[in-house]
Amino acid sequence: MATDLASSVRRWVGRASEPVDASSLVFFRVAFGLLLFAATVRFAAHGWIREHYLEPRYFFPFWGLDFAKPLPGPWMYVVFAVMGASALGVAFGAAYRASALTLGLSFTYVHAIDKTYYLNHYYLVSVLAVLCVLLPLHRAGSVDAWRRGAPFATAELPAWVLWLLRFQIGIVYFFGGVAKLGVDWLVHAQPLTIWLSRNRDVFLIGPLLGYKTTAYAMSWAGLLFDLSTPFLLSWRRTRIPAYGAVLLFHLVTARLFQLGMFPYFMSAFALIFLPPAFFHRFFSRWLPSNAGLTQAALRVPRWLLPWALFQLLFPLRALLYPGSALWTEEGYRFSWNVMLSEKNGYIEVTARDRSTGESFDVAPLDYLTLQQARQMSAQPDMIQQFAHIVRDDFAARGRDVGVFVQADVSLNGRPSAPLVDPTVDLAAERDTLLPKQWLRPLPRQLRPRF
Amino acid sequence: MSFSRRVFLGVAGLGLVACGDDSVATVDELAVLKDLADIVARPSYATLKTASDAFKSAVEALVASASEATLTAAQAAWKETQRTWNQTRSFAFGPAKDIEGNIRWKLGCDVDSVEETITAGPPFEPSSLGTSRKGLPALEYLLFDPEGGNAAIVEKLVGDADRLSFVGALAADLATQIDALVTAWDAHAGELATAGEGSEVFKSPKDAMDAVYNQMLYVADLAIAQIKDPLLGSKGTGGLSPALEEARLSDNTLSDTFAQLASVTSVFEGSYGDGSGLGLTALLRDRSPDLDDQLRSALAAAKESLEAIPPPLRTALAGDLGVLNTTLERLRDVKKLLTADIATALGVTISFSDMDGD
Repeated sequence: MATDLASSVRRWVGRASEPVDASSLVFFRVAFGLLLFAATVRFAAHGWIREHYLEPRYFFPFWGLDFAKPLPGPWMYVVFAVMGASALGVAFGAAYRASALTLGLSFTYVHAIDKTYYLNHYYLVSVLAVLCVLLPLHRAGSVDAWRRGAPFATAELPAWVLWLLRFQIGIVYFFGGVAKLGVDWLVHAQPLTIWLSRNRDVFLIGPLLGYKTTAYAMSWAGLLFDLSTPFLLSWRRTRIPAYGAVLLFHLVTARLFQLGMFPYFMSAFALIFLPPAFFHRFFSRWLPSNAGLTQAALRVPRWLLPWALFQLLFPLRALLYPGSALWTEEGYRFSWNVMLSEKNGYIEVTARDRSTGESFDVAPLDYLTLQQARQMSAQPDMIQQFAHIVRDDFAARGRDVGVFVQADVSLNGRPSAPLVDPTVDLAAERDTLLPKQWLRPLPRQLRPRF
Repeated sequence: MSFSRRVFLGVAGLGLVACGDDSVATVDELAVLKDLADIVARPSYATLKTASDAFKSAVEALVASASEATLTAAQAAWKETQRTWNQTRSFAFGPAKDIEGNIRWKLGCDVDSVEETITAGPPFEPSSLGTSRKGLPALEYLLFDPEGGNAAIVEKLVGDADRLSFVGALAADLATQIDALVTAWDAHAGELATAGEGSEVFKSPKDAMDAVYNQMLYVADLAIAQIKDPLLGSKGTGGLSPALEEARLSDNTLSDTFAQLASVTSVFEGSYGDGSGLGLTALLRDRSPDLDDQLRSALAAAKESLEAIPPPLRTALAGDLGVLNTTLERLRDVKKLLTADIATALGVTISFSDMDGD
């Protein structure tokens, strides 16, 4: 058996090291860069640079990234300008490695500053940007290839490059499906019941969206879609209809929900599953006639396996924490939990002077923006960070306070329930990756109201 | 069975479902928005205009002949304008955002700046003044004196023609600003009523409902702050803080709180004055009658608690705080239901941001 496995691995490595037409990879690089450029311009046009980075007084950085702080004055605009320029550099394959690195670093930096605005597709962009740095996507159909010529410029790239990008995009769908294997999604058809019922003005299908049966049908269809899409896109016979389903899915969800660039990203990135020959007709004039790849360049890199294992295992870390990740949000982010919860919280924060016993009612809006306060009210790690913000603010005014929070949260149509233990001084709790002992479990008897 | 036949049966099945009875939402959001625009928003703004016109007339009488009688009439008219202003707060979005600072600046009146303006003498051009020197808060400062009483106010006005002139100018400006607001909101009400059907402001009924709901939450916060700030302190000051009472000069805080709670209730019930139509209760009842009953009870309990506070708030703060604490708790119960349970049940997006989600 071990011999069979070893020979299978060797065969796989052999196939992965074979050259393939680089056209689809050129397309991916161009699409990624242009979409990121469009996303950067859109972000600035919405006024979000000012709203997210210049207006707030406090921020909620990700764990371990407290050093990521906004630059003062107009410098955040400069960062976004650099990001946009580097996205174009990636698209055209100009000073590619530097462009990809700059894009990856700048994008990840701006989104590491505050988890208030965390989105799964922002995480995806950071992951793909890292891959762009590691993968030789500039060796074909790029300004760099044009300038450097043969043997650098090539019409082919190793198959493992194409497979890795397909794997990465497939991961999003697959784990998006895995995340839907839950009671709320499948048994209660939540949160789709809530969300669909708010879209009854949609042309043609609107009237159907107010029915529970429709929510069930779309919940199960969504699950099957997500779980099967990577495989159906990978198999030649089902590839085209599967891509048609991808387009339809993203078209419908873009109409129903405010998903920003996500539908466009995924619709474009899923094209990586199409055979390179499909793209050859568009990019053939950009590609040299020679192959140009040495055996060394074709070789499967050692980091591929650890990378793949990380991508497969990291989203599953919520299993290491007790309780429902929808409720506790431990291990929730960076796990492709896409559109799974309708969650709102109401909190009351009290600071208590440890010396005098004096109590202070703390209004989150005295510290935070509306959007920050809203996101914080239902996310335990942000609640704890806010407690630390309040602690430090009082300390700056000469008071040593404990901070206590009463947080009542409603999840997917359930009656609200306490999220945190209001008797625990959150200011004294360290922010770690260990399970938070001060979280209250979601009461099992609470069901969605409808 | 062929693939196409399966698809047909699936769609037909969904169509049959549509004729079934598992609907979770039958009330049309646009119908609710239309009623909120026509039955609540427009009439409440019209009442505000009537009140501010009456206030302007009362101040003209005061300016013509400052006396205890004309001052008392002007004070009563100011209170009615303040009350009706608070009643419109649930619709303080859209054009209101541009104008409201001129009517009531959220940080109140800068007394020193007002006196400085009066000392500088006429002509008084309120349109060129900062928001801290005009509007309802500045007029409250000029017309009310809880310590010196009306006699002190009359004495100041009679003895200072510039001061009297300034009061007149501010009242006239207030009427002008409110007139502009009401006119602008009349058009905006049309946007609300046509959300997703030609509105240039609201692309869908969902967008419009989110705007209404978020503003209603904000007003609930205003009502809470009226009691909480003087009772528990604010912005790092703890404990009893009577100086933080918002309308302490006019002793109008409880009335303001009633009006703000009434504003929230109007949106919930879809009613104002004698008019009654569809409100948020229709949407909520559709999804969860139990939750609808809970909010009704919470609103009634909050109102009952407010009524139990012996006015004015200034003296209640010096007395038994139990009734104030109970009122605060009940107002918070309303806010909690709106923020957590009802927002989730209705799928409302709570924030004033247009951020993406996934």
